[in-house]
Amino acid sequence: MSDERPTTTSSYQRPASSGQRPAGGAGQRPAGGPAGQGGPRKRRPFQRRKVCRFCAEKNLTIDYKEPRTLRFFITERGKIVPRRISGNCAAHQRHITEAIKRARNIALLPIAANHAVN
Amino acid sequence: MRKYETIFILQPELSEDDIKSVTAKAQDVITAYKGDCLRMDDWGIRKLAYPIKKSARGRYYYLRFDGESALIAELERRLRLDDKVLRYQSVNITDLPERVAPEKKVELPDVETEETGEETSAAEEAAE
Repeated sequence: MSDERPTTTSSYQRPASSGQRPAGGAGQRPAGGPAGQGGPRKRRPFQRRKVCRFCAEKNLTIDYKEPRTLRFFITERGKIVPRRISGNCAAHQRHITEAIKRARNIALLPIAANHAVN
Repeated sequence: MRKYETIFILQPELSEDDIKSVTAKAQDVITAYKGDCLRMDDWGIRKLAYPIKKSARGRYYYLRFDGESALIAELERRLRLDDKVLRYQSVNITDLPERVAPEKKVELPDVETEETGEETSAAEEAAE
């Protein structure tokens, strides 16, 4: 499980940084932009289209009592991984979110990553 | 009749008699309201993902039963009043496919791996 976690986080961070780019505005573009000023926004490199793993593999189950499978769909902070990153279909993402929330309620999953208070 | 499953978390440092009193009470409610208790599993003491009532561990109990809505209302009322119960959650699984709850023997080593996983993630965050 620990092997898979870095891959999820790296795939998670990339869209997050791209999401911040428009917020940065004109100040950020000359500093880091390989695309010249005024040019079209650099297109994201093509990513393989993700397939919902619950549709692909029918014998995978979503159960709030199994935190092991649900852990794949939460970030290190304990947030639910969005659909555009996990690649789930809408129906299965709904089941996942419900299962995660139930598991949080009975302390099988963390609500948030707890900080060490220094 | 509806199908229900309830998980309740007891304080970890209870004596055998205290645990028995809670589980017996739950079964009394089910029989009093003419329900069927199908399973009563002890998942053992597990580490909680976050402290509940200042307790970092808890003894998980899994209850699988059939009954009417009056039963679940009374059962939850009893669990709510009991100080020994840290947390409870009931789910109506009438429309859901039945899934066998994880057994105690399978879960206990898993808890250990989860703990280490949390520690590493905490270490990573500290590094950031």
